[in-house]
Amino acid sequence: MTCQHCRELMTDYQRRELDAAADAAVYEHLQSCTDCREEMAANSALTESLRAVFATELEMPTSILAGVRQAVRRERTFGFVPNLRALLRPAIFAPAAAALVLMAGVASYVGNNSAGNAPQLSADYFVRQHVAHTMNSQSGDRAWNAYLLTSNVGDNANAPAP
Amino acid sequence: MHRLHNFSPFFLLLACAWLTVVAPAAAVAANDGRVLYTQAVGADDSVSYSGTLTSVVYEGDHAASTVARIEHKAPNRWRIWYVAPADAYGRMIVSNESLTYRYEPSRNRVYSYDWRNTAPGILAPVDVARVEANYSVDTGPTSSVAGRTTTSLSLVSKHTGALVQRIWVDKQSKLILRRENYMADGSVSAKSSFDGIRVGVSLPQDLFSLTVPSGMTLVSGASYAKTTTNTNDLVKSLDFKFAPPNYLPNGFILERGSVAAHDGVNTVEFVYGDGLRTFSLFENATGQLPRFNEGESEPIDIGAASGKYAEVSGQAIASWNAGGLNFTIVGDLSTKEISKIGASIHP
Repeated sequence: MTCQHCRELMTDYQRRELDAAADAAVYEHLQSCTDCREEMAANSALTESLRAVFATELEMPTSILAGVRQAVRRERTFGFVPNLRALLRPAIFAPAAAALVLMAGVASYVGNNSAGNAPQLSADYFVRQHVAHTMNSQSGDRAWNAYLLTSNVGDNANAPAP
Repeated sequence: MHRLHNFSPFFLLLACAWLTVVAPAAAVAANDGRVLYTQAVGADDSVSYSGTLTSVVYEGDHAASTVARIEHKAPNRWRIWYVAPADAYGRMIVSNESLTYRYEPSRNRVYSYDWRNTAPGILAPVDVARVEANYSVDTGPTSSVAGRTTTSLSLVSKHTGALVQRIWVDKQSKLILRRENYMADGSVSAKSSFDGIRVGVSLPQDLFSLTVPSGMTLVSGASYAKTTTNTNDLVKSLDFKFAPPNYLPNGFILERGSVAAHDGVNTVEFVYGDGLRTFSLFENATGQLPRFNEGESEPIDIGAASGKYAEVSGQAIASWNAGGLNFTIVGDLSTKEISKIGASIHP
């Protein structure tokens, strides 16, 4: 294994996401390569300290898990009445009804406002356009700018004029 | 007159001493600063490196930061792996400065961004002459950054006397290892610093290849408006009358413009700069202020109009309505400068 190949697999190795053969190959390479070992140690230390600060892993309560499993195991019943009853259960009927009400509301809003009110752009939209168009500025920071411009909530949202 | 006559030999001697010792030394120091600055802004065109960079951006009463592992192969290959913040953890960016691929393992997607039309200036060398025309480059003391000896350079506006940026330049490679940008009141607006760096490393080209791994899908990332320097034609193409600013801060000139359609709104943007600082002026015919996050903005007076001001992602942004148009300014400006530019626009 080359150092380059090892570094490509390093993140997956750290996350224990490699298959057995690749995992063993990376392990073996790390035993013999000081540079990659140092790289790995630096990455691990940084990752772990940042994970401790930024990440919070939450486990689903066991009562919810049990409920889900129970629901999955529940036997299906057939026939018109049971099926209709199933459709009218709050879990299905309520979201469907809510969606219908929402659609009616949106249609009404669009109908009433499309002529008069122009869309409102977000402050974030203007900032991103500015950053994209001044990336060559010496006052900019490449890593921060790249983070900002690739952290789009909705990619393809900022379509240029034709 | 008599007193002056008595003292004149002394002053003459003092002037000679200043001319022979102090002035040349100051001139040499200033020249050293300019030379070092020129070397620093172009250093990554010839020096490869691998390091960890922490960036902090201050926005009002809070700050945002990124921590990224950066591998750079000169002149233009970049590989940036984010370890913070949490929403970017694991994100990998590979770029040749024209095209950027963003790898999102969590979504099995690769997003592509094409900068060739959006920011053509990124491929051009920094206009050092313009920076020097508007800023003095003062050499400071040496200090250690990421275990390497650096010389600090302060860029001070020749027009206002304000310190705008400080950079710490690696003595050996001339790479910029630390950077601080300052607001008009002297406080830090953004800073970045290498926590560790290995300079002159040999990085294989394959590390920077723009490829899509099996199992991942290539999709287009957000696109941004194409820019042009032909701003006259841009203005003619608008469906509303563009109102230009009649005042610009000293040293600023119009650099380029663009028109973008977003949510059915055509917005024109003009970018102004002084070599170091930049700002964009946006105009559209909505007559609507943009949406700010709750509690993010504060009122600002622009001429006779009342608008909103905020600091978003390290940029000052102010917006106001006048004459049926919406005006928005974003950039490295103080509220005073924004108000003055805004008040000079007469729609």
